[in-house]
Amino acid sequence: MVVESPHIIGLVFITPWMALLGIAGILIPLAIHLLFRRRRTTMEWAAMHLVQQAWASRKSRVRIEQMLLLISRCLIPLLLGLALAQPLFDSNWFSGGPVNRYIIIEDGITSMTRTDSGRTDLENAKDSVLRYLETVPAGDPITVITMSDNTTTGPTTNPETIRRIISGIESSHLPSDLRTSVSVASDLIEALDDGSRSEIMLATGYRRGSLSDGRRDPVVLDGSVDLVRNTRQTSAPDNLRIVDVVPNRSFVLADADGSERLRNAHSSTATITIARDGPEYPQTSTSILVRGGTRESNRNIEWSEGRRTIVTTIDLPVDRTSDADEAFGVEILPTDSLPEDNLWYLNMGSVDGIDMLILDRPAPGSTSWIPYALDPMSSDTMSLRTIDPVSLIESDIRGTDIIIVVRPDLVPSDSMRHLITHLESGGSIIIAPPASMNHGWVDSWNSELDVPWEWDQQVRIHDRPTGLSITDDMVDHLRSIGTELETLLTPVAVERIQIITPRDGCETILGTTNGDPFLIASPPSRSGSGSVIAFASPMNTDWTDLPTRPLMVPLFQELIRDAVSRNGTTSQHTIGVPVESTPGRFESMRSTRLPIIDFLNPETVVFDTPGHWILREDGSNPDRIHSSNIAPGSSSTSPIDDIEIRALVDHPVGWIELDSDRPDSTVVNSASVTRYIILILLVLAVGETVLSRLFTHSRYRNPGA
Amino acid sequence: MTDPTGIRAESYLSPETLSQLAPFDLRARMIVEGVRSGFHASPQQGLSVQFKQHRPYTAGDDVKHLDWKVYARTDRLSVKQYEQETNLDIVVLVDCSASMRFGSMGVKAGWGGTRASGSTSSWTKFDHATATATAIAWMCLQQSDRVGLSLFSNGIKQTIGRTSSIGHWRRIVSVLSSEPVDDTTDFERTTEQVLSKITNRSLFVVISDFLQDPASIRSSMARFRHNKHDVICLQVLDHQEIEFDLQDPSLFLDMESDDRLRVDPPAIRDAYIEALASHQEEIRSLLTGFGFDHHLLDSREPVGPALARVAARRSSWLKSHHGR
Repeated sequence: MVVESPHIIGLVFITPWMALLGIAGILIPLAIHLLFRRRRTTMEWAAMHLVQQAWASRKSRVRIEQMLLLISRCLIPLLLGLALAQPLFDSNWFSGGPVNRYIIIEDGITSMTRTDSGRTDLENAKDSVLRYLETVPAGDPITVITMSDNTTTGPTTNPETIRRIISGIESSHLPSDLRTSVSVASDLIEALDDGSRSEIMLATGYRRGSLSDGRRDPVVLDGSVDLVRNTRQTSAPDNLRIVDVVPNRSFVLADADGSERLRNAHSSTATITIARDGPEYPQTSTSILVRGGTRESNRNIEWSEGRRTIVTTIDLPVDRTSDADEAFGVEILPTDSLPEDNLWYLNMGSVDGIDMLILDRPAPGSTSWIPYALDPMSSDTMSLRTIDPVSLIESDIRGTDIIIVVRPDLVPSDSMRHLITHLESGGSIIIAPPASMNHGWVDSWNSELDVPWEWDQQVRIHDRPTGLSITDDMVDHLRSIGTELETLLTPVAVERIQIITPRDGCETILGTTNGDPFLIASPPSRSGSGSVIAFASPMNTDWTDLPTRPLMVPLFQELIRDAVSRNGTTSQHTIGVPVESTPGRFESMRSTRLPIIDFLNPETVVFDTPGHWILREDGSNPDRIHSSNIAPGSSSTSPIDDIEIRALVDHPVGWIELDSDRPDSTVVNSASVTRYIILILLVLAVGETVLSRLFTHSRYRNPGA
Repeated sequence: MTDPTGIRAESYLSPETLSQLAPFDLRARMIVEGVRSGFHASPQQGLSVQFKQHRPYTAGDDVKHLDWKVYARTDRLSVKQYEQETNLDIVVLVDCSASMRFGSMGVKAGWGGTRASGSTSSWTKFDHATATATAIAWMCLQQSDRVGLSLFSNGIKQTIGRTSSIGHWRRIVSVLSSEPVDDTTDFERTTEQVLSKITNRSLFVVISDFLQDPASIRSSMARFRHNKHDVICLQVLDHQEIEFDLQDPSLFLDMESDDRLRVDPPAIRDAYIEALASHQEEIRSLLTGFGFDHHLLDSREPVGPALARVAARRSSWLKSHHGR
């Protein structure tokens, strides 16, 4: 909405209604004048010719005097109203055409950064904008764009409105996206298409966290747009920040007997990434405190000289005294210039058990390696069933988390729909090729399953057994055993594999040293479908000795847990990123009586504050815990350099720095004319008093007849 | 008699006193009392009969006229002989035009006044003029003068012939108790009418506000001068007409025409006073040019000074005419 302040002959009024009051105030002396005219007394007079003679000689002068008095008395309320309306001189009235101004002000997470002066970046940015507004001629339409959400306010020509808008801006936990903000301004300028001049004013702390994706192409702006910016921050305040905390598993397995004994140590660890900005951090150690319910764990890490980032594993103090989800708070100490990024909220879902179904028809005398690997301790939390693929019916897959297909060649084509149903309901499938050389099954599987690879009927037989190697995608799936994986892979030999041709989107977890994919997975589906994990070799010693190697048990255990982790929607969210959700109400766990986000029929919900949240569906019991955190890396307070600022836009001139680079001639002083009006008002008031005494002096003299 | 009014006469003849008396008869009595008290207080009493010579006493002469001082010096009886003043004719002309109805001094309610003051609730110029005329008439009758009276506006409205009988004063009072008319003042016509009836040399006392055109006044006075009459012009103006210290914007209505004017009096006061001064100077100069006397009476001032002026003028007139 365009908010225009009224222009009157080169003047712009901040509070125009006061000017209207002033104009209306003219009626007061006029009314008094007319009232006194009506109140004239009637007097019969004998010496009329003397009165007429006196009036004839004074008529012109008296009328001029009365007119002057009336004008001065009318001007007093008018000028008073004008003064209270705070008029500004609109230099555009003479210079021709206003300049469309777009103020981009940073209000994201880094705007909370406290500088050496003790003020935040946002406060400094506001000061810059207010100084900039003093140089803006009245009448220029101004639009404010906040960098955290790229919302626009205005345009308005009322500087007071802009000042109120600027004053009302508060820091957000959202990451600032400076480049998008410039794009928004650029789009607004293009939409004008009226040939008018434009200027973009940038007020930011120039923190690296504000430069979202520096790999994007710069915004292209032509020479009709002037770019000015506030002074760049050259110093980075001390800031220790949590970049990310990723649990190695998104759930914990509940013990069947309710004891506190954990089934898997890997379930209670997380990888934390800590970074530091600013000068050499004076503290040589950082304390990481993790709280989970009534339990907590503590760990100190040491910063070696010059190190800026530390990635380490922390223990999560899981308290399995109930079946509820686990909520953790990860805090690093000491606090610094941006305490908002010193706390991270983490949660782990609670899983009662994992139900697995193996589709296999073991050959007589053969060894079923997979059941051994999956249930080495006869865990009650692992339910393992084996049925013949030929006898698979729909009821078999109900409640099943993972289906492991050992004999895909035996799955009837009409049973494929049960597997697809399982996938669509969030379940996962692990597939290994049959040990037999009959690979006619691949045609139906390639056509039925929507996976980013293609099975080939050919088998690659190595003259000399090949080993296995780690790929980039391994971390996402085998994080818990990532540190030991290389050691575990070393003794594994692969003699033959079925050739699998990966397509876009395929995640190769392990490959052979020859470069063939050995273990691949489909990426998590946005629609909630489960993932498909495929081995290139069966767990058969004729193909590979993996079943006999130490890697076998942790590999399958992790694959199963990873698959379960990926099932369903995540409950770990990033602030500002829309999250698909079911109807319900999110309540902050810090104050359950105050629902922070309340919605009934949402499609998406956006968290704007870090914290733990409980989703209550239709007022029922809490469903699960959700956690929201700032975007990883968004709180980096390291200052960007001039080259990076320059790279934000493709502009013939680039940014001109306010207060230093900007030539004085370009600064148009739009000083308020209020003080001049007040001066005139005072002169007029004194003049009216003098005139009224001067023009009615005969009242105070007694010249006699 | 240069000043027939004393402190006591002042209080008797003050407008504040006179304005509270009604009917006019009562006011006239107060005036008479004031004039009389003024005579008693004056050391010049008896000057109305001027000493002329001594003559030897003869039998039958009133012994009260013997001059014992001469007898003491000369041892002869001598009788004082006085000059008789019975030939002075005084005609009082009182302006009763509409403009004489103006007055700004309020009259206390219930005390009366003339009809004019009764209608305006103020002491009008006409009130002051009639009070002055009453006093002059009584004073002159006491001096055995023949006194005549005329009320005029655009001509003679009422008139009383000249006589010196003391009872004549009551008729004069009766005429003066009338009210102003709505007509304008026409000096020339009035003069013509008056002079057509009075042929012997007389002393005319014209009591008016003299706010008319000076040219007409000049023409009128020229007729008096031509007929060898003497004239005392007593110009009665209201205090407000002199000071013009009105404060509120007013609509001025001419009392003798339909003229009207809306003005802010303070704004034109200086100009008004200048115009009045100019008018007054013109009147004064034309009257003195004819050898006539002119005296301005403020209607808020006592009538005594006017009597003094009349008495002085009468005395000088008698000297100049009987001395020859």
